[in-house]
Amino acid sequence: MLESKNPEIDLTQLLEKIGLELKLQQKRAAGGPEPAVSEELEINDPYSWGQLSSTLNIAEQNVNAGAEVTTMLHYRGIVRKFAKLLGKITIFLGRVITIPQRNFNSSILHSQRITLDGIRDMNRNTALLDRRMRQIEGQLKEKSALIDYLKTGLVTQERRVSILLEELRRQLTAGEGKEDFAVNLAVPDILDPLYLAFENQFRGTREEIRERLLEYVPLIRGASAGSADREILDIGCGRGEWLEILKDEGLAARGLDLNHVLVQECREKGFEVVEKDALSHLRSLPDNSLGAITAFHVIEHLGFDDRIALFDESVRVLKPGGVAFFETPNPRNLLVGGCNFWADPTHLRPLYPETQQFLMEYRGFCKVDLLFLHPHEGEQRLPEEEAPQLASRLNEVFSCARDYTVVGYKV
Amino acid sequence: MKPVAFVIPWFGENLKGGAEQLAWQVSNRLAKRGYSVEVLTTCCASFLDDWSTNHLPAGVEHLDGLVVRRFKVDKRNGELFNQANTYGLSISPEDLRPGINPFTFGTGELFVAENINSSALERYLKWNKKKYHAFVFLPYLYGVILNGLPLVAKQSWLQPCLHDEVYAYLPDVENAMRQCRGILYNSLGEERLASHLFGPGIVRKGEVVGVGVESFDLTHSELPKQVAGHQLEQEKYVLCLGRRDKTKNTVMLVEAFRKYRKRYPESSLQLIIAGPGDGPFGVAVKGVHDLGLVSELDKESLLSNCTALFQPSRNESYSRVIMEAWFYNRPVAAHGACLATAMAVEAAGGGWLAEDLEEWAQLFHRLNETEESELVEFGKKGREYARRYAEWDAVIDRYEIVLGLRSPQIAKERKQDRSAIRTIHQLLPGFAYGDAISNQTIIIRDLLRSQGYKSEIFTEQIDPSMIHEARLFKDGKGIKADAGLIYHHSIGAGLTDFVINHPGPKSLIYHNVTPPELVRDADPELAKKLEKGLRDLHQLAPHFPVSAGDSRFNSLDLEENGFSSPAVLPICVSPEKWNIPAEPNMMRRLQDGRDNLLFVGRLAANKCQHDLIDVFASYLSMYGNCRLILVGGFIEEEAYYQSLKAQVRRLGLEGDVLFTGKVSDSALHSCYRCADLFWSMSEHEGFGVPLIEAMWFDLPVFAYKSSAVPETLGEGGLLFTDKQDSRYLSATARLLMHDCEVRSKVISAQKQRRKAFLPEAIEPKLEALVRGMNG
Repeated sequence: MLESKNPEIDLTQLLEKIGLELKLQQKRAAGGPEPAVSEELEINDPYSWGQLSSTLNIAEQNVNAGAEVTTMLHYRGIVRKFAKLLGKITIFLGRVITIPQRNFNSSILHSQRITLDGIRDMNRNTALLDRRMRQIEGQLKEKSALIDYLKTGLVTQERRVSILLEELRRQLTAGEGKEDFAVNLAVPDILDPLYLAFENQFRGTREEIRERLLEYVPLIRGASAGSADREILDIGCGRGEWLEILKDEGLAARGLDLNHVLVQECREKGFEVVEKDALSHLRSLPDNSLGAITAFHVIEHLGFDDRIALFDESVRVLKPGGVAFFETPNPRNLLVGGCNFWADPTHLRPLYPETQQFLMEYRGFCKVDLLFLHPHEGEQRLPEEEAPQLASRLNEVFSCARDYTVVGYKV
Repeated sequence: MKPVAFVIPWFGENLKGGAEQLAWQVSNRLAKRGYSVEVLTTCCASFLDDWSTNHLPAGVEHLDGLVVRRFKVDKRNGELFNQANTYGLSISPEDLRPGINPFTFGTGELFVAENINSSALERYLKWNKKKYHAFVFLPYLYGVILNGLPLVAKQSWLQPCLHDEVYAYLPDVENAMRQCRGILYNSLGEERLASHLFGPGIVRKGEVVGVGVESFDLTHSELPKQVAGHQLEQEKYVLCLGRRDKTKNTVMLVEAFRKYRKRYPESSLQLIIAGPGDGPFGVAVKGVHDLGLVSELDKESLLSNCTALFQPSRNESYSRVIMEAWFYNRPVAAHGACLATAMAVEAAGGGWLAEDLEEWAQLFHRLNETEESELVEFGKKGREYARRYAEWDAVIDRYEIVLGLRSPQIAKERKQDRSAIRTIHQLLPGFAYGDAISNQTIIIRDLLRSQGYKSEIFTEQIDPSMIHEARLFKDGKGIKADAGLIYHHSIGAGLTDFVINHPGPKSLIYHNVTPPELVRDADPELAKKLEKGLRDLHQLAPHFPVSAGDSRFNSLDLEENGFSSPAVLPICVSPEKWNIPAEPNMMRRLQDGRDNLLFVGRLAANKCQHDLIDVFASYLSMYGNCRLILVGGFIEEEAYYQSLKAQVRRLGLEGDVLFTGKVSDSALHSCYRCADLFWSMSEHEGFGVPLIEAMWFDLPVFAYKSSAVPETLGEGGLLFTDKQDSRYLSATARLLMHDCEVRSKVISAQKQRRKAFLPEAIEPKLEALVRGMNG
């Protein structure tokens, strides 16, 4: 399909070359697309320099004003000759003015051109810098995302290591005469004290928490849980605030937590606490064996599958008439959902209230309800006197309940 | 005869520097041949002295048949000059682009204004130019030259001694190159550099005169047989002669030799290095002998006995030793990336080129394996070249011819048919700026006038900017009944009746009517006009016994329409049109590292820009980093343009396809200059002027074989007969742009082909046409 009359060109050889080129190209394409450099350098022109340039062009056309007679095409014959002569005389006499004027014109025009050139160069440099900066910003973003990723990975590894250590310690202590070893091994449970410190810092003081938890006592009483045969299980009992209230109220309860340090703390206070993962503990319990299951700020640490398993197991182990309730941060409060929720690095994602309600209902709970708790009060709310509508709207999203509880019963 | 004047900032026998030496040699040698030669220079002593001090007295000095006039230099602000100069030198050579002034912020103006200048010399030029036959200005980068040349532009020859350095990109330099009457180059490499920097507009006025080498005039009968302990006649050695240092690649050559000897330890080939500079080199390498500086006689002896001369430096502007080696019939190897030396070796066929270490190492081996007779063959070719370009007699002969010094040959008496017509006018429907047919009428008119005819151009419609070139046609006013008439037919016009009824001798030149069916869908209005054009043609046939088409393709059209034996008169395409500066903004925009694929032609369905966009999309997806430039007029509302726009959007090529619209010559100049390939998919070209223009810009042409395209391209370009396989076409286009061998073969054929459309090639055909009109 190629033709050439050029005697120097050997078409067979050329065809071979083209075939080779096509193969090479295919190979290159398979190796990934070549970086496209097709991005045009966009130069902003907010001051309309382009316009200035065209104005200068107009000026340039007139720079030699008064130097030549026009063609006088609209005159004919002798009239044209006369008109031309007259024009020439005028121009000759006018030279006194026009020559310096023309010099002035051209020097001004010249300096304008130089200025414009300079501006164009600077614009171009600015655009180049801009582009470079955007590139660097993009790279920076990538890098910080990478750092975040690595941090998460690190935390996971640390957790795995502590689980491993825990397991090892347990196995070792199971054997006799290995106590010394176990003591040594207990030391590197790094994350457990970390989380305790974290709770102290962020969750609020013991007293504050206790006060809030008191509100739940009527729910327990309503389900007549807490008797010896209708024991209460508090999943994620933490520092044991809720267990303490239940004990004060004379209700039978057992705590559960994974954190070794917290479990020790609770045991020291005389509470009965299981150091185990919630799901495996629930699975180990027989059907219809508990009066109530509670979990404060636990379900936001669970993935979807685990959460469903928690609901399922809860329904199974609760005695008829038993109650289960789970408290979690309320994402309807934008400050909580957008910000405070994320203070705890082990939180997975904010949970949408109605979804939890739906899920519990769907998995077999009855009379499932949502309780919205702990709104901002007093000075933390916007005063509603001046702009009542705006203030109430803003309060609605920023100062409403910070937590909610989803409550369900087993029939 | 009036004297020839050499204008140079400094003049003296012992001045250092290539241009200074050249001026001394050429002016003295011309004077010795009996011509009246003057040198116009300043009172400044030399390049190294203060440029605003008059070291020498002003006035006339007679030097051995030479008249030297010295003029006082102007006061200057050296501080400002140094600032401008430093600014220029701070620009990295990779950032230099033809047509873009690197001296921004007014530093270029400062560089010229605060350079070495002499108002007295300028005044002298202005008032005395009529007393001189010609002025030769050299070299290119001084105020005396840049400000002086424009004053006597029509009598001036510029001998730029051009280098690829920042100063060569000054607009003032471009201005001098464009304004002067002729350009004298020292080497082929310099000529190529000039056409790279300034485009084809200056190509035809340039001439490579060469530079003589003195030793050619001497004959050393008694050369020493032994140099530094070496019995030269008995040893086999490669010679590297000249300044020895890192920048001259001496180290690289020694390394290459070491590599060679490691591979072939039994080889007896040696490497002898000689010249001034650092060193010694290659002390630890077996077979390398660094002799340091040697005497002239030793040098000659070394040259005459060497197996070959190796010149590994890649920044030479002119290498004397190469010429000297050739003088002794010895072959030469030069660095392939050094324009000046590589082009000389290539053009002469007097040796080899090598670039990297490996190539040089292999070259040693190749040389060792080559028979002596073959080496002499190379050397002889080199000698022929050297005799042409480096022997003073031949060089000065060329000066005589170029400057028109030899007694003018008796101009050929033009045979004019006294019996016949004295007036030949031309008539055409429309006359516009940049239009190929309009340009053709101007060239024909000038040719006719130069032959003594009265000749005017008449037209129905005229572009206001062209009013000085042609006259408006009104009912035949101004065209006498007995006047000869050349009618240019291209599209239906109201001129048909007039030309049929014109009683005087007449002829018709046919520029093709686009077949209406090709454009009917896209533009029904135009199709109607074209149909009328075709009908008219049929009607015109019986009244025009003399006719011509601008291609064989068009002549066949004429024949089909009833014209008898039409001739072919091609459209004249001359590169002088491009002796204008390119549009700087375009130059900046298009030289951004992307490959530019170009097509020039009105946006029209028959030119198939839509096919080009399709294949371009494929090319872009295969190779990336390129843009398609479609130069050609269009009207915003036109259906075809709109459909192209939509196609570009659909393919997502918005940033990659550039529609320039109708552009000025200087903008078109930029497009051609920055393009890498001219790619035509057109299915109908009556002639194809842009194809030839592309040849002048040394763009490989890649074109679909249709209509007059193959005829116009001749041996140039590369044709394809099938548009379907766009991957295949893209790969071929890629080779045309980036495969040196393919590209250079295509371009060198185009360099020949384009000559067929120059005025001097057209002239005899026009004469034949006029003879036909005479009866």
